[in-house]
Amino acid sequence: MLDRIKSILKDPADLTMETMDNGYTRMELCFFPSMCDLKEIKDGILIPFSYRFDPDEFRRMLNSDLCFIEAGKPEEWGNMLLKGCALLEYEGKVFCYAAIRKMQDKPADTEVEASLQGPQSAFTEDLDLNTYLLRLRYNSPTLQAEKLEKGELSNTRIMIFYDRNLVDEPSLEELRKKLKNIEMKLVQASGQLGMYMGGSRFSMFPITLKTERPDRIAQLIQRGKVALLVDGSRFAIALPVRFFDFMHAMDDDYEPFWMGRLIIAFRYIGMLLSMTLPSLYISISSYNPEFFRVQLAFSVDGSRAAVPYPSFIEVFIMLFMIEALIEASIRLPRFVGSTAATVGGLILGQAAQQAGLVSSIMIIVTSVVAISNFVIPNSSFSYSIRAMKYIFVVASIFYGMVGVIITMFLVVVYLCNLRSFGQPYLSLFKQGEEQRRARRGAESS
Amino acid sequence: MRKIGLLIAIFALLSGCGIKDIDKRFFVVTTGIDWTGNPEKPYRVSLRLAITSSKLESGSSKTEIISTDAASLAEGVRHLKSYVDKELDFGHCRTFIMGKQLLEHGNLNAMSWFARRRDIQRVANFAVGEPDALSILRVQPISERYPGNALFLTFNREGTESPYIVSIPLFDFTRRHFEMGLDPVLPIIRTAESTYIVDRVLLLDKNNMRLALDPAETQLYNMTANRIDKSELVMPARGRDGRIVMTVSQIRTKIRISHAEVPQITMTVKLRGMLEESPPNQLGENWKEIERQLGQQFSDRMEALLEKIRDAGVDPYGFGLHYLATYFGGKEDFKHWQSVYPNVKFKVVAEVKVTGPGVVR
Repeated sequence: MLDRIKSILKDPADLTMETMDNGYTRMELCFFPSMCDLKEIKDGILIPFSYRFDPDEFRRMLNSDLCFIEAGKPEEWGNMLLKGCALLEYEGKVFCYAAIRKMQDKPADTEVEASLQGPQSAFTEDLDLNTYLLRLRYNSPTLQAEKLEKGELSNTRIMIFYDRNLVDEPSLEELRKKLKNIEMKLVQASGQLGMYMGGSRFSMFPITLKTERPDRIAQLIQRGKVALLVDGSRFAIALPVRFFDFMHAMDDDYEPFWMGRLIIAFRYIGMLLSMTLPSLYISISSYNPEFFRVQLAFSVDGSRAAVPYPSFIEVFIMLFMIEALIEASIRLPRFVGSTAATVGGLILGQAAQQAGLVSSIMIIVTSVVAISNFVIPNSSFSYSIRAMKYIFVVASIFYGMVGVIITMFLVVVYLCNLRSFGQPYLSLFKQGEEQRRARRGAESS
Repeated sequence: MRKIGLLIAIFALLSGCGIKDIDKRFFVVTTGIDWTGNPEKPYRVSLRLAITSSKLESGSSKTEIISTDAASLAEGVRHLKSYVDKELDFGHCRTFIMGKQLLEHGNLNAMSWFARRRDIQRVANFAVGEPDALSILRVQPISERYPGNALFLTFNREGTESPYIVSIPLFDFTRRHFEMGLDPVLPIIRTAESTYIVDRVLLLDKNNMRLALDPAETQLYNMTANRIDKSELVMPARGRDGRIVMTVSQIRTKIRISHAEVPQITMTVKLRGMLEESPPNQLGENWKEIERQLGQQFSDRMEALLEKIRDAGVDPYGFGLHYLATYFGGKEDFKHWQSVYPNVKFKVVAEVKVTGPGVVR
């Protein structure tokens, strides 16, 4: 066996290949120490083979223990080793022992989608643990799982989960078709997969939902969606999704009804503000000042008196600053992160206005835009809104108020046109239908 | 990519030249139009311009007044643009004042300039300046926080809510000017030192002024025509010193016009309110009697006012329009109405309800 492996893997330095002799008989053992749990190898193979050796028992163990799988095909050996299995040849038969090193053994804490009073556990970067988390929350015999591998070089394991009574069949078919067509060398993150899979890398809005919360995935599966778990990524993908799913935080379901609705309403207002406020500032202060109340018009007029550039340049200056600040605080290491916020806050808040570079109203506009963008619960959706804002700004530079209104209309048209795995993106009444289907599913099962 | 670039280039070409930053605009806060008496250039157009600052304090408002004589309003305003360094913007001009002499000589049809301009808001208020518009513009109220605010607050009921103030926005003024059976009215602004006094109303026919009401009549007109509450009913207390004053908190008016040869107009007015002032010991007595007396007094005064208005030949209440609307009137009916209007009879029924004596017991 060892010669065969040598010919496949060309004897890498981190591969251990041993021929072991315990005095009675010999065994060939081969594994990657870095990828295997050494303690398991010791407990599972070395101890029974060395000082507890009993030929009958050892043979029985190899044949009946669930951890040992007979590996008859030599061409699979390389992949098995690379997945973290140990291979052993005993009495002419080759066995594979799954002693994969696990980095995580407990669920992670939510980091991106924090919840105040909901569950605090999140998916990890280990697929098996993620499967456990999902099965734990969706403990039903109807939960169906499919397994596949993607990526020529990464050989990433992917699991597809859905409830077989509730799932939307056409979407599932489309997903399978799209997965089949994907040819990637490396699958590193679920987002990457989601992007390729959507067939819409240039879409302005995300059409698959990424989440790190097992409770959200369980809820989506219950609503007939399909979930994809990717090994090595702590984000699961759910599809098909609608516009409104992105504005939903799990806390909405855990808080009293009316408070939840109120917060959702604020979230939509925040989204609209974050998208349109800079463009409204341009169009009102450069095209239609009669839109303001007279007090505000006069104070904008007064505060803009020192500003040398037209309003859209002012807007671009401030928007660039705030985007740079947000980007910097995401990428910076935690230790220096607060420095960026302090420096940025000082510059944005005071100095820019005192230097006469921007008006004081613009500072308020900028901060409202930034803060209300953070209100959006889903980060990929909030990226979309951040980008949409610039389309509005450009429209308002050329056409003023009319431009903003027409762009808004165009955005709605675009959203109506968008499809997420065959389902309309902006369908208002899908949810009711899903709930009816869920009820039907519960009755039939 | 090339297509997108081309599209952007086309969009850029399409844009108009409308972009003008707010700090490059001069906001007109009050416009005044006077009669010069010169037949060549009959109109004197005066604009009160706001000088803005980012700090707003009481009395900090600064304005600039520019004025020119012209043959028409449009020419005057265009000429005035050459007096200033920024673009004139009428978007926040919410008060237009016409000199009294203009209404005596001028032709209201020439005023269509207001209704045609896109940037003049339809909610801008119209008024008459006494003695002329320019002198009203020159007043600088001490309390004014930002330019032109005092007149905005006076007319749009955001600030003071006086029963003497009649507000006529542009849309209403135009409607009254063109509508059959409804005539324009205008509040009269007078000045006293550094404040405005607005307590009278001027009734016009389609072209000229006809009748100016005194403050008490103005209040009555405003109560019945515009249902302005926060007004008052007053009468001397019978047999005692002092007066009985009732504040009206709710007022309902209903007009019915009979279909007789000479129609009779019945106006039913329902008033509710509390006694704000009354002689001592009055409260224990019969309120019904007070209500009856107040109502009687109100309807007597109202009938006198309506007859006065009728005799002046104007119809600010829109009785004519009401008549046409009730009886499917056409042009013939309107002619008939015009011929009989000087003879119509008025009956005012006042139902007064006193809800209480206020918070005293």
